[in-house]
Amino acid sequence: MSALYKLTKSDSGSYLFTTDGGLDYTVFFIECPVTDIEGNNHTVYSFGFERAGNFGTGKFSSSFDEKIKATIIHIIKVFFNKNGEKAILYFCYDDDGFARHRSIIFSLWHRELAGTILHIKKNTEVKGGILYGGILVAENNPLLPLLEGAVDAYIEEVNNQKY
Amino acid sequence: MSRNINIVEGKDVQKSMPNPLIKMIEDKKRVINAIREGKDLSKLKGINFVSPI
Repeated sequence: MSALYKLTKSDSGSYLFTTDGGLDYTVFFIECPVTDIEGNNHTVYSFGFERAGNFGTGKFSSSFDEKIKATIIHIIKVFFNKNGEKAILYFCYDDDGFARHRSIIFSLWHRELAGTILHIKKNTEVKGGILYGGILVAENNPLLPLLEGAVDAYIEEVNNQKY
Repeated sequence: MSRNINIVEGKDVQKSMPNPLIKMIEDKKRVINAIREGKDLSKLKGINFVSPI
């Protein structure tokens, strides 16, 4: 595992780090309460990270800073060490045309977590386009079927264009 | 997966509540745009950031 970037907690509750190349990244979690079919409440966290500033979208670069990957994986590991019964839900937006690329890279990164954390893809269709996404959940989480069922039902509602 | 109805309770528990994923999707878009524009995330209204690590 590569070295990590130092995380700083911001006033908003998000986490910040600056790469060796001087790029600023923000990592955030947003609480998202969900209810399963039995009426049980669960907390799923919407997770994301983004680079500050506008950047070119002309060509997707396959090269990346290994320390960014290591930092994000570290964050996810710490999350599940502290919140083993919770789940992370993420979506990749396609406003720059690279959502699928991000989804693939995230799947590759998940190899570092395989064996302890499940990655269940949850791609969905929104407004005529594919929204790439997935759930991360601890493999030993006994609530997994209920959590996944709850999210699936909500996604189905989005798919049915009630959104 | 189809939505199941809790027959015992006689109601669809999920269906009686707003879909939280819709808000989540919209909120995340707002957050990403704010980050790209260098805005202070604490100024975003109605988004419940948490620090679970």
